[in-house]
Amino acid sequence: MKIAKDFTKTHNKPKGTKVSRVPQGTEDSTFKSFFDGFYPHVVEDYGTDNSKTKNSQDMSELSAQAVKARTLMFEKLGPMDQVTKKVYVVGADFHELTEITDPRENGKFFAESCYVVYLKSASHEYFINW
Amino acid sequence: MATGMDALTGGVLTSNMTRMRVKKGHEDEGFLAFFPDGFAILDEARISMDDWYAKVASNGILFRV
Repeated sequence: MKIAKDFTKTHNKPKGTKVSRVPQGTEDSTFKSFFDGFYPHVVEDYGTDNSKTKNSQDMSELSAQAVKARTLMFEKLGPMDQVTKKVYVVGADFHELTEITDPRENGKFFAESCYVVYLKSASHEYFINW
Repeated sequence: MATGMDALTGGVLTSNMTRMRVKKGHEDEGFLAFFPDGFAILDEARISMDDWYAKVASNGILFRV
């Protein structure tokens, strides 16, 4: 944790940068989603050096899973032109949400604020926290 | 952060709702697809667009790609 905190200081990260710890081997799907080719533990085989092969297999499998997850999201939402998007900025108390209505702010996200991107289609709703 | 989402849904979470979290700087293609006109992270506290454009006009801006 100290290393992470020092890192945020030395690299001038925004003051609101959060530091969290994920124990090795218990990485959840959120954590894995940040790595396109996340690979889990490789089973040690002291007989032959096949770790590189295993890693690349795992990476391609997980990459395929990420694509599958993305496809599922688009399947759930349906045609893109029928998806309504709203972006909210979250207040300092985490209770108040303010909808961003200025079209010039579309696609611009201030790093020191938290946002909720709300996507609504006829069949599904997504709430994406950024 | 769930509190903010609860405010939006009235504390309701049904099977046709999905909550996700995207970490700053780790936006995947699926997320970026909803911003076809571009996506930029501005490394500062939120200000109005009028103020931001005025600031950019006077100071300029540097983007890291």
